[in-house]
Amino acid sequence: MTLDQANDIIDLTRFPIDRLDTQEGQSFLAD
Amino acid sequence: MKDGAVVLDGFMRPDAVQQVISNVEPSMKDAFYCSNEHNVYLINDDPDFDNEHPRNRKVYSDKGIVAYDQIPAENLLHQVYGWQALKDFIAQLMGSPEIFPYTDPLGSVNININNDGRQLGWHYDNSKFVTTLMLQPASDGGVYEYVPWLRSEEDQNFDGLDKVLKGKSDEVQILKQEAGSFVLFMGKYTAHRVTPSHGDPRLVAVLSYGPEPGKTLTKETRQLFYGRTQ
Repeated sequence: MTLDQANDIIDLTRFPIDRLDTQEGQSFLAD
Repeated sequence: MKDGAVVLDGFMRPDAVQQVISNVEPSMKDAFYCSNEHNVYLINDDPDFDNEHPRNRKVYSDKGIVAYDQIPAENLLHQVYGWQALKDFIAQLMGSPEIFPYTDPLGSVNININNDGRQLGWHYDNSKFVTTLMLQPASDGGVYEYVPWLRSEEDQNFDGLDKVLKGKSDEVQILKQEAGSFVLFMGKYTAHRVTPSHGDPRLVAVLSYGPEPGKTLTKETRQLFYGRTQ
């Protein structure tokens, strides 16, 4: 599944699970 | 995770939820419905305790299940289930280096249907965690109740469980979910149930992952919940 396809299914703007190795993703996880 | 659960409301977009439901709706008429009495531990009774002891006391569950092989191949659930980023996310939540989708022909992904008063009685899961996507809450009832960390590996806390089963516990909490909610639930030590559902059916997709590749259900479990072994 491409990132665009994933973003059509999962709201990656609110839940950046694809970016967990970045600060953005990690701070989401910490929340 | 202190309450034994992570709930992400709005995780799956509303359009995607509707696509999942519309796609699988024709298969729902072929869902397998089961009902059974069981103890909270979902294992055989312990003869060292009497039948009314919380270890052996019976509760009632009934539900319908659409099996993995009944969910059309193009259903979005299949894409979500295998998406590496989701697997990595769940592994991070669990503090595991990696998790793996089940390779079960019926149970890897399934859709639970609770309607017409169907319910899940109090129980502990046998697996460490379960991940679900709420597709449609019941219009009446179908409330997910749980008691965080009611037991531990060292202490079964039968007194606490007895109060829960008698409806006298003040520790019971409600896990609110809406259509599109993602839930990771630590059900092995956290007792939980779903109250009877009425009106619009409660539809929940269960995504099963394990700590090692190749995990499957037992044939007995398949027979019980799917009415067939393959």
